[in-house]
Amino acid sequence: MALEGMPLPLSGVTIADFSWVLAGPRCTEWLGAMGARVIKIEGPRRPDQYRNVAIHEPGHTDHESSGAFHTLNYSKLGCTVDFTHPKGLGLAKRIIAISDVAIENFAYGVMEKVGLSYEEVRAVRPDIIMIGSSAMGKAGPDKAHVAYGQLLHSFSGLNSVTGYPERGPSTVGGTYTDPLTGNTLAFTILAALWHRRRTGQGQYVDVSMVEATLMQLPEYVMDYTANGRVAGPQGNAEGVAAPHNCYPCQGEDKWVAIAVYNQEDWEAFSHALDQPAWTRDPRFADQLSRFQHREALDALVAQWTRQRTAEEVTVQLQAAGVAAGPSYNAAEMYADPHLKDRGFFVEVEHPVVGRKPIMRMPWLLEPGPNGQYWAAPTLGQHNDVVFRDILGMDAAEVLALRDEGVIL
Amino acid sequence: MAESAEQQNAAPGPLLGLRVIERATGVSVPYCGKLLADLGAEVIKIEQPGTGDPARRVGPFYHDQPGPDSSLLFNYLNTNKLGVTLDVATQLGAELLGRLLQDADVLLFGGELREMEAQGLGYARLRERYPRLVGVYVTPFGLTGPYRDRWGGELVSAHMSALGYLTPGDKDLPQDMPPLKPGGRQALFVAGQTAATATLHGLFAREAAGQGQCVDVSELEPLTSFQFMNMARWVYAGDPGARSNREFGRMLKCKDGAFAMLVGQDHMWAALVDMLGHPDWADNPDYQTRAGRSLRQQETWRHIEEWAAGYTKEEIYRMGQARRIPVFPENTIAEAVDSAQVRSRGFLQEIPLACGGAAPGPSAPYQFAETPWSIRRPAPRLGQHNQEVFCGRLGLPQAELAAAFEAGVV
Repeated sequence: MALEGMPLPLSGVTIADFSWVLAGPRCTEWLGAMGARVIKIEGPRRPDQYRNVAIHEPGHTDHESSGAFHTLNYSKLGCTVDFTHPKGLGLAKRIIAISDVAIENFAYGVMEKVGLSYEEVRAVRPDIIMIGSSAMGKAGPDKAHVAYGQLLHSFSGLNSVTGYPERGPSTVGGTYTDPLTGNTLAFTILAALWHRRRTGQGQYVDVSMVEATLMQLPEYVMDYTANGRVAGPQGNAEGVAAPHNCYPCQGEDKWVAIAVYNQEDWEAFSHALDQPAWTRDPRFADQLSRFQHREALDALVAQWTRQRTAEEVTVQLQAAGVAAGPSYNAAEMYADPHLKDRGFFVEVEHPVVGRKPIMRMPWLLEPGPNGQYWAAPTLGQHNDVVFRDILGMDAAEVLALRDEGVIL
Repeated sequence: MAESAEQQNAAPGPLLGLRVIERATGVSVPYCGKLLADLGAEVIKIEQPGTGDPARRVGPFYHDQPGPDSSLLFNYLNTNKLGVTLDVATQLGAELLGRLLQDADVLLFGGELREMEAQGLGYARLRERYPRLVGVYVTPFGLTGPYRDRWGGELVSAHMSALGYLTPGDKDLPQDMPPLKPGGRQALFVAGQTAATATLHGLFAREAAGQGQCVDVSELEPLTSFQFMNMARWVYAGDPGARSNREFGRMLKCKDGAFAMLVGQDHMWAALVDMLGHPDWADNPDYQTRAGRSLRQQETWRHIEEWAAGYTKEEIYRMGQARRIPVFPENTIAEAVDSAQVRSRGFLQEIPLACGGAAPGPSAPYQFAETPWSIRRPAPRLGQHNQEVFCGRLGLPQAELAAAFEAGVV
């Protein structure tokens, strides 16, 4: 995909990556794919917690085998530094000295405690861009609150607008605020780098996960601030579109999403179904009336979808110009021919688990060059590359640090 | 422009100097344009004469008064943009667009592939004339692949991404309930947010390769890319996922609502037992390990809810966090933005509105110490900056602008 011989967009940029778990690693793997030299720094006795997430092939439960870690840490160099040790702190500062960006998402106060506050980092590298990512933001009365990303679905109010209207709020499945923050961090760093290229100026940026989530709920926030209205769970609805829901299909727990936005869509939808009598029911004659009678309408649509597979419904409706698509589980999503055709899944060779897929950045450049992808590092895999090739330390120096337990 | 130039100098965002043309409607691309504009880029939004961006007609409206300039969503999505109207399907419209692109770094296109071709905005055509242009194309399924001509949108993306299948993440829901999209327009916002990142990637690629770029963003892929662990569970462990929440994000009931907590590590469990007042049931040896606790999860939740019935979600949040337990209240949107933390950071800022007035809304999740986010102007009224852009910038004579208006081109 890459243009032969063309430098990658971020070649020449070095990232001192102190981040771990989810949001930070998600961001830095993209920067690595864009060509930045990402130096992931893990504590030799306190590695990235996501090495221990139990997503494993049968029989592999060690910290090098977690699919969670592998999908979040591609295209990075991995090294170990115990920066709670005075010599480790010195080593971390040597990495910072050659870096354009430093990023961390530790619990509040950790960087200050070990001596890597922004002031101390800037003393080493005055034009550095430093990013502190945290659940609540680095300032404010509750800045030190402890969190997992999923719990911020609750705090941010995202859950309050998610769920079946008749059953009250529900949790958004899987991880959401974490990868959203990861994306936000990537945008933040690219914007800061753009400014630095023009002006030479680095800076500190404080990123809040709660706020990244609220950014994407503005219609509810402003309906509250302007009109005093507090929204509840929205189901699968969007505005007054109907039918607009997920409908049962042939097979166990199989569903198809159908979105009829306007009158033109409704005509197309009716035609695609061969205009059964109920599509001419006066209750369904216009959009507002369809929306008001959506429960009756949904039941009739479901009678039709139940006789068919999600794929059949999708193809039939799409051919008529109606937005439809299966509600995929992970297996179906991974097998989707369109995602495959666009090279969305990239296989990389990992020294412990072999060839495994990762998801590339969700866009393509033409002519490029596009991304570079290699497998997540094993713990300390690139110690020699980082300490000897990049920092220029000699073998004796590296050995001494290893003997003292500063590196692995 | 004198005043706005002064304002820009007062608060230079990191993207000051970037010139962006936005030919898009709805949510995803306008959000992308807004993110760039709020950080200092100049964004000229082109709307269809007469009708404008359909998002202008999407409620809720300011003070519940519908009107083309009072949609709160439209106002939020289009802050800091200059607004012009142009029918690019006409010869004059195409020519004026061409002159705008001459000076632009970025074209943001949003819509269906067929519209892109009909408007002559395909990148293959543009690259000849504008070799340094970064063309960002956000379409339902991308510019290539078997579904490229399909119809999509929020609901379809939310479900095809595999996020819908996991939602709601409540274990005790009947299985005949359908999968759900998350609240709001998350697929479209994530697509717009991702497109903003992709735009900057395209600009860095332009600098590195010395030539413009076509940036192809499928609205499906950004939210799908949130499902990397979901994919890994399938590929590594053969688990295709289900609408159950495992141990995360369980909503627990209390006196006045619900709260969520995750007690993963042993020290958190010890802190929880202390908060609960060391009840007898917690002495059971099964509760002393994480594996043992996960076997007794249902029972644990029941015990905790019995205790929690005596406290409000705010009390439980404060008591828990004081003990370093990851616990949070299930907030409404109102409770979230009114929380002490969100308020103290000034996250809500007055968003000036195209219809006049202002309403507090989200500012930005990133606080740049040197190049702050800023609002310099409200979302444009339809065609508000026609004169300024076409006559002032492109030098179109007044009479020709008037003629173009008569002909419905602007």
